[in-house]
Amino acid sequence: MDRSLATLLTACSLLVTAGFAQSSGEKTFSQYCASCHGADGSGLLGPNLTDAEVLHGSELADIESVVKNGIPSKAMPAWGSVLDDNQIRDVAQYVQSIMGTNRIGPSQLGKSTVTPFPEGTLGQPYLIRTFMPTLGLSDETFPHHGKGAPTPHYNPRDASFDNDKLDPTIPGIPGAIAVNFGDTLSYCFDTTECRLLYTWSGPFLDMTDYWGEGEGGQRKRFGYLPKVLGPLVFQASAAPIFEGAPRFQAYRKENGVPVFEYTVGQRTITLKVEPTDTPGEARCTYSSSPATELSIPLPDSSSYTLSCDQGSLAAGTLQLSAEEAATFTLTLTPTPAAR
Amino acid sequence: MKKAATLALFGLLSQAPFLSAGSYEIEAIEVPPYVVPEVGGLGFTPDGELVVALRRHGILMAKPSENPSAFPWRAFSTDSLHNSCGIQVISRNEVIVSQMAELTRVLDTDHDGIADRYENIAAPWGVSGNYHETNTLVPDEQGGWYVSVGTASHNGPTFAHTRGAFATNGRTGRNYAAVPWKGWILHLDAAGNSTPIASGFRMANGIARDPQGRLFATDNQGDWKGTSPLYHVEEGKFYGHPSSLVWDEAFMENVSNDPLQYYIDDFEQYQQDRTRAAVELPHGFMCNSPSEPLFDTTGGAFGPFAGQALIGDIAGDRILRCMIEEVDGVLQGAVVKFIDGGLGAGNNRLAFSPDGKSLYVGQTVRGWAKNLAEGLKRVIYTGELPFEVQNISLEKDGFTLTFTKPISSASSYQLANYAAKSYWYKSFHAYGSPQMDLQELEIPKIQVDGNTLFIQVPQLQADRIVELNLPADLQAADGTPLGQSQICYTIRKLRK
Repeated sequence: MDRSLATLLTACSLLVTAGFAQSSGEKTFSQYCASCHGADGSGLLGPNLTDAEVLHGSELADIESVVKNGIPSKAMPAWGSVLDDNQIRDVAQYVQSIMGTNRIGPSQLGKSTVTPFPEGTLGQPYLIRTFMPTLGLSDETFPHHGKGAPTPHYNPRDASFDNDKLDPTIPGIPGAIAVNFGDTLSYCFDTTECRLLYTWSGPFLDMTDYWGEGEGGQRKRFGYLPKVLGPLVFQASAAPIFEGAPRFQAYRKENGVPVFEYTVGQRTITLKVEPTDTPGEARCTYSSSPATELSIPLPDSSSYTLSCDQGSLAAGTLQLSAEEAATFTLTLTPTPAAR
Repeated sequence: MKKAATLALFGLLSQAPFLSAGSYEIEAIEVPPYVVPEVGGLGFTPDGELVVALRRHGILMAKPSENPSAFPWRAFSTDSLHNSCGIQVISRNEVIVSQMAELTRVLDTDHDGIADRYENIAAPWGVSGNYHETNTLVPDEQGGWYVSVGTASHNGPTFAHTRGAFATNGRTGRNYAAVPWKGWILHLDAAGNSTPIASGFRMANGIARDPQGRLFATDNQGDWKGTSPLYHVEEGKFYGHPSSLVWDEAFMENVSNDPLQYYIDDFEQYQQDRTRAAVELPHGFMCNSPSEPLFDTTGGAFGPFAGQALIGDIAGDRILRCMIEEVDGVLQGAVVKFIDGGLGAGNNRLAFSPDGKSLYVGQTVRGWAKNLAEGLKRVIYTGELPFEVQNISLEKDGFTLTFTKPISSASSYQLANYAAKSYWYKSFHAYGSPQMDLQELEIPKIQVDGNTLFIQVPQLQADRIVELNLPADLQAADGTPLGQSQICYTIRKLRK
């Protein structure tokens, strides 16, 4: 099933469920719960919630408690630190409203739900470590990479080299991390340069060239590079925010949202990229220690604008004092043309 | 990681499924519908949960149930790690994973069952952008690891921007080492400090330590690998695939800055410089793509082969068994089929259940097989002793075979039903090798005494494989038919 059909079916099932008006509980469900319990609640990673009874108690208070506190032994997260009490009540009511509808989920059908179009949601962003395309980023964006070069084609049959036929290089990023929050926001972070390389909105990735069609398995393409499906918003320019030798340390998850930890020279940096209510907009919160003054050139881009919660603008650059640079948030907003 | 054509041919030649009668049963384990079970790593937590690292998903855990369709699966991590092909399970809150770009510590810091921290322990090897460069690991039992770093394949490209330095002379060849430490086994200490241990690997997709702590690795038949080997890995040695030597500074300075061409030009020097396999796994009928060796540490719970190495075959519906001994200071030995049929292909990773009675088999054949065999199986020992060759030892003029049960003398004395031949495989730049200098060997005498059988073979030579074919109708004294009658012994050293 291709992605547009899958999306259409999901959309249809949601419409059938709720008419055209989505309740607050249903909205929360689709944002935070659907990635595990299925868009229609019939279960994926998490159990089917459309049976007459659910596993940990069917009373409203039982469901609220499960949502709020989680079931650690079953890997059900505790949403109490993410959702407020009203949202928890609404989503619990929504779960009660679909209980007893006895929808058949993929577990019962014994059918794989795997596709080459992985997706996350706002509540459960999806993270994949993979090769990624450079999408026209300039060579200067990759100063801490080795320089690949075309090499004479080797013929293993007779162990000869053909100096007239060169094996070319292709434009990929070897140590990338791609993250998707649903159609609202996707981005590509590089663990070699330790910086955000690009963002986009709309559909995430087509992994067919790497994973094969459908449930996959068959090698499809020479290059194994996924296709970025949505329109780009932000693309890194040559100069990084922090100058120095980068080393990737870790990422942690804060309520499912990745926070990257790395060093650049002597500085320890963290970066958290989050979506906002504006599709395609990325809120990038940096911390640096020890902090020093920063000068960030304003973009000369038709696809996005940059704003910051701190600092001052001067001569086409954003100036942050050492104090301001300790923690600051850059917001990358798509221009109307890029939405 | 073989050609589809080879597999198709192999399928035609393969025999009907055989299981050592009644001794081992195979079950398919059902996995959740949200994953493709391309298994890159298998292990158990100290409290008995099975841990499965997937090559295009995250990490699943489940306490095995008797019903193979009712495992209570949970996702420890849903992050899709990049071709996780090696794991060490520390606990239900901590799993070490070797992925393409990094050795990663995956942690559940708040103990809610879901991983929330992914630390870069070390990334001493480069990444060229070629799909073939998967890595696998074995713990050193001192907080560190040995990591086998796979080479790239000429069936895929490299990137304009590589992780790590790019070497033009490493990029050439059929399988190649364009960026650091491809084709090496590295040691990483607990802090992530890296030391190169041994070079010359093509695709050592299996690394293990035996109960004595000695390091072993399998490698895959292809260029510079006439047939697939099981190596005893020792520090400082070169195991035969030249491209990796681009990252050996001493070799580049003192010998040649083009190791591939150097050994293409001088085969005699190559034969002197390389270290040979402890056990060669003949291509075509024994194994086409070996994966992880697993030493039987179950102390008999999994049957009568304690201490021996089991090896999965990615390209074949098979698990092999290696019997290793020390002769004149080197480790060498024989391979025999263990499970032959009933599993499917893709047998990539092996792990014993905590009680030792089951062997879990993680499968993956991404890319090559016509009929994909991804999945998870288990092989259960029923407790019924099979009749098999339990061990083999080289003698000056033949082999002594020890069986799991007393041999029926009535079925064993037809000398004409025994056959032995010898051959060798040529490792050089071309892909694989035919059987070279095939000779039928004379068997003047056999001698049976209880569980043991002596087969006299006077014309033994070093650096050759001796293939023994026992009578097909050989039986145990209690009437059990012999399971596997074909044994291939790799002679590195003759018995003095």
